[in-house]
Amino acid sequence: MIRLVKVCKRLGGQNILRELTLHVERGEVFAIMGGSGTGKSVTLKHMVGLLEPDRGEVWIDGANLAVLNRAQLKGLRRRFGYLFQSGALINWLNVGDNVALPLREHTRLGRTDIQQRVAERLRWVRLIGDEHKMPAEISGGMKKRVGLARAIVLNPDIVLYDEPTSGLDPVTARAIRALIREVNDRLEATSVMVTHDILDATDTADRIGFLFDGRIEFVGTPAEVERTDNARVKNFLKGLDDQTSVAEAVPS
Amino acid sequence: MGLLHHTGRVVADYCTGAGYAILLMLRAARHIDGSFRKIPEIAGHLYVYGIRTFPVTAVMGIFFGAILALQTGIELDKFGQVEAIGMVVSAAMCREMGPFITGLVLTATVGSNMAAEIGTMRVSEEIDALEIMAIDPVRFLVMPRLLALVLVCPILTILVDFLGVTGGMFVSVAQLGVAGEVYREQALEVLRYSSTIFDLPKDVYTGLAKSFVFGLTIGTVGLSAGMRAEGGALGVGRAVRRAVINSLLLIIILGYYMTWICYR
Repeated sequence: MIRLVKVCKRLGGQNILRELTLHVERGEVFAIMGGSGTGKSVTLKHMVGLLEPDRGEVWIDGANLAVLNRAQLKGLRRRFGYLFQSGALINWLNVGDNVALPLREHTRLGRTDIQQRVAERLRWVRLIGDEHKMPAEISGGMKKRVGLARAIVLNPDIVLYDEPTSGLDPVTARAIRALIREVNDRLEATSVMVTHDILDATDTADRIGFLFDGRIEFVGTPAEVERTDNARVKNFLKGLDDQTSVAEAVPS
Repeated sequence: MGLLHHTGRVVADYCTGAGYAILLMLRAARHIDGSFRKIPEIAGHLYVYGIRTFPVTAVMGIFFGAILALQTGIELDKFGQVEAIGMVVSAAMCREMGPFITGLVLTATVGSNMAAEIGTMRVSEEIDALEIMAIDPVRFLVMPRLLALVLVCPILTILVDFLGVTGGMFVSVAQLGVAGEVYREQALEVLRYSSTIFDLPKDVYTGLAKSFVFGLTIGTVGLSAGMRAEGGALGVGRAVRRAVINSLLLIIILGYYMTWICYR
């Protein structure tokens, strides 16, 4: 469904992605884990064509993004939902209008149908009754849930999540994780999530990829991650840097 | 070498910015046929850009006309020509000062506001969100704002022209001893001398043409500065500063060339 082949990207004088190769299967939830500033969000932005690779290819459902024209890319993007780290809500539109925006722009649905669809999606994210609140009046967790409702309002084939639980309290984070799984199953979508929280990955993902030094170093199911002998993965999960071995850092 | 390198970078940055702004304006123009769907939004912008900025524009217009009348009237009085003051104020306001004052006020209020608003949307990923939702930010954000400003600028200019001439009349009557009727007749007479298009005197329509160009310039510069903002709050601040400086420079330079073309 999503294939990145030897993608290289240089930003701000630094090599962020170095021949990153990744394959996400249709219908799965794939988590990309890695430390801050390792290029997780950059990887996600390549998938939706917000960034173009310096070298390498990005394939979505058999289409190479590099050869698509503006109209084709626009058409492809309608199949995506994207949850930004901050929610990225349009600040002068209320919650209901934010969720309704893709419907108003891309469908011929009438006012009543739009209201029904918006109410349904807000019910999915447990925000029913908050339609008239402005983004400035709601908490960070609520913004993410509104962002999620907006991302899935057009029934996308692919949903991308950028740090869906960062900065949230444990209860809200758990609710968001449950929502991601639920949304993926209800819409029969393919989901990719970038996170540095192992709970996000193990609770939600079918497979987890670990991003180190601009490339995916290990991919496995949560069970395989738990059993892995990969030192870098083990160090990362224990909160150690690459130079410190597990044996040195963990007291016997 | 360092200075040369720095100068080269500044020039390259300016050229990139200018190219981006021109392309943005052309892309916005391509979406003008969709403006009917955006009438409520455009009306909202018209209200903010027109009604909200009118008080400050009006005060500037009245006092500028008054200053112009006072300064010029004192000098004209030395030659016994003070009764021609209406002519001077009317011609200066309609040709030059009306569009310039309006441009100045709209740069400070609307141009900076556009750069800050769109810049904040850029750095908070709202514009990325629009692009991912396959919503063209130029059609959704740029076109309605630019169109509203282009419509507002000539309307405000006409009001400033009128208020400036009126401000000049108060000073002429109260402080220079010119009869109100004489001032009014002189103010209209100078406009009658010039050629007309659709009954509009040349001094008025060239002023309106200038204000149209100024509106387009302020909007394009402000919006493109916002669209190119990067680097958080600092980047938004830089975008606002860039928008104000570039708009002011372009207004004065374009104003000169338009005057040269129309009156040489």
